[in-house]
Amino acid sequence: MPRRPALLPALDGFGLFGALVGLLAVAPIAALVALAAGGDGPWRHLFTTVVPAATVDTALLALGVAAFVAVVGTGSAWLVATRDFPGRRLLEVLLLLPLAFPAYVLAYSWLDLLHPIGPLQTALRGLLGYSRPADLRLPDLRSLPGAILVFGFALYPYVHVATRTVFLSRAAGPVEAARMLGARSSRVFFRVALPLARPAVAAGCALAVMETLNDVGAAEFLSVNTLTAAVYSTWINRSDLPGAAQIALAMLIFLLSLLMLERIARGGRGYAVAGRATRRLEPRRVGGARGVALFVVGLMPALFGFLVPALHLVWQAADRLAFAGLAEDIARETRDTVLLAATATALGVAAAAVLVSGRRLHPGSPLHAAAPRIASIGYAVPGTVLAIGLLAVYGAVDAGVRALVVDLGGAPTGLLLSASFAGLVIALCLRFFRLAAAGIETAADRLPVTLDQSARVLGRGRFAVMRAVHLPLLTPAYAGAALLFFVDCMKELPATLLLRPLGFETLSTHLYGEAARGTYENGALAACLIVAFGLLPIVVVTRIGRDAARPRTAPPGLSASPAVGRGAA
Amino acid sequence: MSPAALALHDLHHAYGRRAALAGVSLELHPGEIVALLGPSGCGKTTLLRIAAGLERPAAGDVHAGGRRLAGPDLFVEPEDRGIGLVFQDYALFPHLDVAANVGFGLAGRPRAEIRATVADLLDRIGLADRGRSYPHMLSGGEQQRVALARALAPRPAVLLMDEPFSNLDQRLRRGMRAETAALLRASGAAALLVTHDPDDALAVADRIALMRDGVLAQVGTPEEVWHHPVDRGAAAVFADLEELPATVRRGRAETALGGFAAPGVPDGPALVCLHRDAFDLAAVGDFTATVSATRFVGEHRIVRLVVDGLPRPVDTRVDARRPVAIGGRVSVAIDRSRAFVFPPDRPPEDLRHPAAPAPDVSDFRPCRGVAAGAGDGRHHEV
Repeated sequence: MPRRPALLPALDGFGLFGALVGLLAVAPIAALVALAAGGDGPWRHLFTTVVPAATVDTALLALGVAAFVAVVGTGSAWLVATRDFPGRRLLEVLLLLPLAFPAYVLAYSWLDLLHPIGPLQTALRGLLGYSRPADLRLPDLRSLPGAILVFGFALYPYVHVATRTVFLSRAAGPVEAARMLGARSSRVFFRVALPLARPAVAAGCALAVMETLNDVGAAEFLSVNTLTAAVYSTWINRSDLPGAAQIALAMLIFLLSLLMLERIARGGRGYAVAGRATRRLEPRRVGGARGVALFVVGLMPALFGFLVPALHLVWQAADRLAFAGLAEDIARETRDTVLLAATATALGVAAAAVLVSGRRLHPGSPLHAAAPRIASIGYAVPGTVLAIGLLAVYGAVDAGVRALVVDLGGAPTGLLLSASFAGLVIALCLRFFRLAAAGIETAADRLPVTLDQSARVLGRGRFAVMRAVHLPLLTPAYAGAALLFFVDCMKELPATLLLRPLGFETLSTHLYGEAARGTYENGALAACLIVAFGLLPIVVVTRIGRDAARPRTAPPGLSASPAVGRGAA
Repeated sequence: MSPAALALHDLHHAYGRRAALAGVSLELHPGEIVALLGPSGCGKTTLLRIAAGLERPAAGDVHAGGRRLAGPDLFVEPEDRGIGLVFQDYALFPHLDVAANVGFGLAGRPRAEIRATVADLLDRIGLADRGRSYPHMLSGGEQQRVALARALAPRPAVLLMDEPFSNLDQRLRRGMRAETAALLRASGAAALLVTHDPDDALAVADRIALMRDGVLAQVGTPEEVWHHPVDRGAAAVFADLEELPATVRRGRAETALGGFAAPGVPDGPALVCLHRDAFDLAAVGDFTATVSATRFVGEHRIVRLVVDGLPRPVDTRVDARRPVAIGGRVSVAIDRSRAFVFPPDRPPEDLRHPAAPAPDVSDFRPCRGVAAGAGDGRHHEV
């Protein structure tokens, strides 16, 4: 008979594993703090030269991107949610596509497009009759405004998706009421719809800014000296790990204050929770020339954020293939990228599944509730910051193991985690754990808890409940989480760049190398592949959305409870 | 004497500051069906969850068949208790078919035995041919039966049921009560049935435990709790009450409607509670009354009477074939054996669930002026 003292927390397998993952997630942050505090010499140096200028640039970039995505994201969402014009359905899908473009790929494509001897400028010169590039000087994309535009076009979908959900699901009642009270379109938008969507706008902006701060490629290509770039170059160019850690810490503080600001901007209100799917907002029909005009206006973000750069990449890649054939490198890199992403996905999703089930199977246990939260820290931390912290952790582990082995009389061991495949996999797992956990948790919350309790009462232990109940019922959620996780691993650049083994190239690091060398045309194929993989979840999500619109019989997995509530006297 | 099938001793529990159980003790004898009856929020579901092992009591002990399951130093996990539980929402596994659901608790036993047990149970609940169906393909009543069969399959000595009939409509409920009681008797398991519906309790229970505010107010056979309620609240569980202020003198309570026997009640002010069916429209009655409203409810007609000397109108039922005219004067007799006399210091608590209808007067709001035939003829549950 299992006896257990009353006061000890339930430290079973779920608890132990949760504690382990949680410790692993906290370790890089703790190492960062320790490292930054240890390297006391360069503190002042860093703060007088690199950091203040980089902080100003980073802040301006973040502000600019936030403003851009707020306006473009909300505007485009309002357009497709409230106006019905020819091509609206197509536009709904097109406006999501920039999600497939990591900022660094978008920057890469636009830089190539706008290069003085690139297709756009050459065509423009031909049109205007100039012969030499020096005769026609256009504003350079490699500037702060240019970077704001590139990041903005890459990241506006975060706001677009969040606000469109609010407009569609929650705005119908208030908007119709406002119109019945005689409010015109602009008044409806500014006085009713926008305030309703404000939490969603703030949440979307926060995500976009976090992505901006996470980026290491685009900012560098566009010659904006952000804090992330400073962290990266301090480590790569000067091998100054404490210095990098100090800047990383400064950045973390910067990020935390931004999150606080977002909280204040939300005015204490909760996030826009997608409530019960009520009546949908009925869009107003706009036909004729005005309809065409609306379509063209709505097309702009998709045009600059996806269509033009994607077509350019495809064209460049085709050109390259015709000229040089399929390089062996790209095949090997694709294989390595898929292998890395698949390994990290398997481990990350499995860990998330265990922690989510553990929390559910231990209601009221603070340890089990905290584990998935703490393990999610890596998602809030920019990849570069996480990587610097992990560098320190891996270095310490390697040194410790070597000392131990030498003490025991063995030959000194080499690098076990530093610059290893395993170390990189751990980093990706920590970085994207939240992605998997959030998806699985949402699905798990929809399963009645009585299913678990029922299996327990019928004689199954907690692990058996996870296997017999959670596993079969949450498989679709696991798959969905795995897809998102996999694609984000494929696209990941900063942590991969810092932690990869010597000579190990993924598609993203390959692209980064080509861009750093200025050989843009060679990276086009890698860029195409990254975008193609990035399109996968969008395709799946829009298909699911279309299916959900159709009435269907309930899938066997989700019709758990009987007609609750009827006739319950 | 064999040990109690389930023994709960001095259980205490609280959610945050709110006390859910404040010292509850209850024993189930082997094979006995006990109904735990009380309004929602009274703690009855907490008691059930503690017995099942889904909740850990703050204080108190749980024993089953002589085996200690929970106490200050001990907690046996639900899967190791061998106690069955039927959930209010049935909690059938949506990814398993009916046969696999019923056989879920038999894991580890020989395959042939599982198949035989499942086939036998499905046969007994009348679903022999539905073994390959999935839960969402079943009706509410069928789901309820599968949930019951699943809980009984491992042959538990104790079965707990949480509002097992609350998701069924009125007509189905009556049949399921009888069917459930028969299955329980056949299995020999002791059962604790949690419900807020007095009809559930009266229909299946050997004993009824009335619960309110985290304590048991009264435990007894249906006859005991029906005929000898310990207080006004306990009496009000089973029927609407008409209350008359009274003065007790030497074992007799005097009211505006005459005297009532009040053995053992101390002299002084008291309250006489009359079941509504204590009033009878008789040819020669004790009192006269005016009919203010009537409502046809099938076999019966509910008649609202303004009785001379009573502050509030009284609803009573008469045979539907008997003509009653609104505004007419009628003669009323009172069955004085259907009256309870309580000292007035009892807090006037209503044990009855506010939403639970008393039998047959469910669409008649006694306290408001309802005009007869007001057009609202549908029989709605509240």
